[in-house]
Amino acid sequence: MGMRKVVKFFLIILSISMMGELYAQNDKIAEYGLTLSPEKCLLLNQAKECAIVVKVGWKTKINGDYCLYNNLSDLSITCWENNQQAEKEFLLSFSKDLQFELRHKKNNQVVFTATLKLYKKTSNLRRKRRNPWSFY
Amino acid sequence: MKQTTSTFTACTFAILLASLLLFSQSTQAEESSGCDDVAESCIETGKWNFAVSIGGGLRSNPLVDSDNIPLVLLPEFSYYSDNFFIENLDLGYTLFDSAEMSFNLIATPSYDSVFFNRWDPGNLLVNLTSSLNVNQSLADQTSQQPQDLITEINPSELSDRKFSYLAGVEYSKEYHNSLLQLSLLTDITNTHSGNEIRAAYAYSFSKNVKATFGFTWKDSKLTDYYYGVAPEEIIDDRGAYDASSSFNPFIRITFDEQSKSDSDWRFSFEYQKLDSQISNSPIVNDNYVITFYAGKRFKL
Repeated sequence: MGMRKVVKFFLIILSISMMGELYAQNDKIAEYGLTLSPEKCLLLNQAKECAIVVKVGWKTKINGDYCLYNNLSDLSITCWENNQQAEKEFLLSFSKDLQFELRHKKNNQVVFTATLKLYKKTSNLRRKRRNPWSFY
Repeated sequence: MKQTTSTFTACTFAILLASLLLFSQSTQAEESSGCDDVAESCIETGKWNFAVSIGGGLRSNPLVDSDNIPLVLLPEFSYYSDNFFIENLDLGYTLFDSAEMSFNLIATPSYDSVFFNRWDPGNLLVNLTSSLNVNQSLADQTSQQPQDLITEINPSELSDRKFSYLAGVEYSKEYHNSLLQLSLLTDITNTHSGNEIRAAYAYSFSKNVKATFGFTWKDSKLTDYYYGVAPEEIIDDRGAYDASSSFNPFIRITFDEQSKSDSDWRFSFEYQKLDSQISNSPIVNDNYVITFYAGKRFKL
């Protein structure tokens, strides 16, 4: 395959990907999985735990009964019946990383996981270098 | 030309000195602000970060008798402290940083050196603005198309063009969905004593699609060191070549899936036009470099 053909092929793939993305933005939850918003919580100087409202969203390929769990309790936080996607907000307090799991209600099998990360005062954050030269 | 070069070096050092005096006082306070919202543009300090992209791509090679460079596995690493940072082959020190702008001291390779070594770090830790590459194995050379022995010279016939590091200042200004960056760089490895200016403007059409255009300007010392041919390097009738400064514009479009998980799909396409001072060199065949890559990036 000549260089021109390779480049042409690549540009076509790129265009298709971008078009796909435009369509995907119209969906409420663009991809299959479990999503958290925000994904991080910063523990300020005096605070011992984070208390924030977290929006949990999920989308599966198959319609079914699903339950949401986290590592604070063995009990489910909430369940949805006969559903393929949902979004819900929770007010949560936690003092370590919070692991979420979406499980099948019937057999407790884990479908998706997601982690809400907790940054403590000791782990400093700074802005990344702005780098328009980088690949990404 | 000598006067232009020394003026450039003097300017770079004047800016360095001024920036040290102006910004060193306020660095710490400014730097910590703006990251309380744990934005995606922020990163944890004191920790190494690793990632690898797996996919397929190519960088065209404009040099005489040289293969295009396949891009398959692209590793990345970075480390940030309060002011200091490492990003692949770039080292930096942040003098000033705010939500709108930043000012860094920076040391970065002159990517032209990858010209002489297929396994140059610049060919593995890919920066899309890297320039030229060549695979010099004998087998590769013999498999190439016949060379024009009147006007062309195989780079392997010439003496080594060494790896060099440039250092200088990097100024970035952010405005809504766009970013402007200007870097003034000078050789610190005493390889060619050349200077380079890099300028780039990036515009984000959405959180996934970004276009970047800009240029690299290389002074005559740098351009001539890599693309010139000295009379003493020629052992036959082909002429020597003296390159002057070069201006190389580029345009790049990137797509980043920005998935919530630790892996996401990324695509990038770049076209770089080479200045005639480079493309007229007897060791160069084309007047452009095309780079593209499609792959999945995994955070490790």
